[in-house]
Amino acid sequence: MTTSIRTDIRLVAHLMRRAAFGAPAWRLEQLAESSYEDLVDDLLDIDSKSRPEEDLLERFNAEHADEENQEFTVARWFYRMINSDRVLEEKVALFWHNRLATGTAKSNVNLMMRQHLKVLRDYGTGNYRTLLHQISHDPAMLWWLDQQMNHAGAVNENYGRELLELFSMGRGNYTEDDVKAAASAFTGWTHDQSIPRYPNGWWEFSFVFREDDHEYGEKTFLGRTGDLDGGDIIDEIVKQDATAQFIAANLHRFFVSDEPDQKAIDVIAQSYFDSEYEMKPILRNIFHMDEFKNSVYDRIRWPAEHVANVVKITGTLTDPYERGFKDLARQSAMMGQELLNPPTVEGWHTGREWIDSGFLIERVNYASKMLGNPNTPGMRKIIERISEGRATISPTELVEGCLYELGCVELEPRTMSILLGDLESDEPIAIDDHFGTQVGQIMELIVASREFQLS
Amino acid sequence: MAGSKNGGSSSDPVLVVVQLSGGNDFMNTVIPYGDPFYYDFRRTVGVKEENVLRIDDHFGLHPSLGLLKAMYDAGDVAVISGIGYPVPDRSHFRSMDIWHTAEPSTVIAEGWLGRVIRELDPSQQNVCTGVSFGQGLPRAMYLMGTPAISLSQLEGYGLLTSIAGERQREALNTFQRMYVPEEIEEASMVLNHIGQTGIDALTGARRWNTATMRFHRA
Repeated sequence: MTTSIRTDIRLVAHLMRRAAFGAPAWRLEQLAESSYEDLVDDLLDIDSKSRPEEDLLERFNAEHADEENQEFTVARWFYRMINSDRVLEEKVALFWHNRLATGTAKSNVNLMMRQHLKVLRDYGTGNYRTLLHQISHDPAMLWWLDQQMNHAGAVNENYGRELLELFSMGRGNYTEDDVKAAASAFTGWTHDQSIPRYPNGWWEFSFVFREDDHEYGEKTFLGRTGDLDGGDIIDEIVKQDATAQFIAANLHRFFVSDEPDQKAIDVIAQSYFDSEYEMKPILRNIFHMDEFKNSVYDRIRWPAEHVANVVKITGTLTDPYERGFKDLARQSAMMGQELLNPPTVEGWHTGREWIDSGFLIERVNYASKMLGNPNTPGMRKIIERISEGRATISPTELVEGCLYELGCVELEPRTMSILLGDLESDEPIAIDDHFGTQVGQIMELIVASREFQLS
Repeated sequence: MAGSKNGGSSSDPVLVVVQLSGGNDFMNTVIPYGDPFYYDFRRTVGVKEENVLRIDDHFGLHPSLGLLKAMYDAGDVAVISGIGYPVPDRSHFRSMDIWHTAEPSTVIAEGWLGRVIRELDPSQQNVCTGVSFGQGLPRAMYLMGTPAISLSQLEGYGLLTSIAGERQREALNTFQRMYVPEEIEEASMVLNHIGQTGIDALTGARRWNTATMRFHRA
């Protein structure tokens, strides 16, 4: 261990699990040399860092250039989750992907989803009002919620309704008349037809405002009356207490705990207004709250987080020329989270609903297989660190070493004693040629534990 | 659902529920062609009376449902039409909650099939009382404390499958002890939920694999 630790490494591990996708101990030790404040600021300092060069994936592996395939877009996303210097940007995009949920199932046009993900990434850590404006101009979202069918004189309420119910205010905080007014205000907001792909390559979809298909005239929305259009609707929405509460509750659930805590949610809601809807100050506030710091393991990992965390520990898939990113898309889907294809516009049911017998088997088997392999770069490094300077190691030191190296995994006392009991004897274990295999076998069981499902 | 209270036999009734998620126009599935309102509300997409597969003077099936019609005529199909709930909520999601929980007045998390499973097997003797095929357990089968098996594949279903031979047996034994819910007051509800699900998965996989082995032999 280094001697210049400034921040409790368990707190660093917690912050990295929540604001990023976790990290093994060797990395946490480097981070812990900074103060907690600096770590938070560094995570939030997105703009001064560059994004990974995603196009390298295409250069080394032609199959990643398949613009029409959802799996490859997800594969690229995992590349970023694992390797981006702007990791909080990816984490927040994942948060919004569940809140402003849109998917390929309906459009079946992956190009749209690629553009959609870019909106979540480009605007997710910016201003929430801007994000709502951008998402209301996003072809994938407009198509997903039938905006192409929202005509003057024949209003389709889908977008207006979901904007209020699922993207901002939540049920019960507006009337059916507000839904109608919102839907009317968005008439004519649609997208163009794409140009046939061949022979010219891919062409982005664009937002189109059809003036002749827009319902002009007086509307009343949440008490404001005028010739409102979609932009006015969003401007009204973001001012509402219900919106602040809704966004705060969702941020709390994703970053702090699966269990709601009204006091903490109120604090986050206040920072929503104080920052005038700027996400970075809201996030900074969350990471500094005692409720956040004391929330270790208070939420169940999302499948995408689980997959990205496991891969980060193995130290694989750090280079764009490696193969295997596509498998991550599949693994996450088998655990119940098929990215870019949420079950509905409501997103995924999180928390305990991530854990059913089928999904749990996938989570356990994947982690156990990947981290039980002593021959990955990450695991070789871990084995080297555990055995460094020793000829033997006690069973307790070995299990504790494994937990620490995985990124400060914390086990219940009962789990710990079961693992130790299974090592059969209290005799020191020799560090010999067989040692790596033994570490792998202990890792297999640690990551199969209940606790490893938590974040 | 393989329902059995006393050991089970090949004649035990099995209820198969097929959940088709997505949009479907119920009025163009079982068509109330004898109701004049039908042609008012389905001016363009309505099915013409002469094309309806009549089941009586009022209702008929969509022309593409000929196979179902034959089963209906043989007395093997019953239709329950016009299911709804009072004061419809226009939210799709609230409506799906109600569909899965069969509880229109309050928001609950208990799925209706989960409650059926609890009724059939209150002492949880058979974790395979309810088995779901497909990606993920449908909400209808979700009920805290009541096991249901969720299968995404028929072969090779099981825990810790990357470990081979005798070591796998030992690892599963460790898994079982790590996952058994703790019956102490300070036990975490979440860990106990994960624990119970793990135990159900373990038991379910064992039973399931025995059952498929028997099936292959038969």
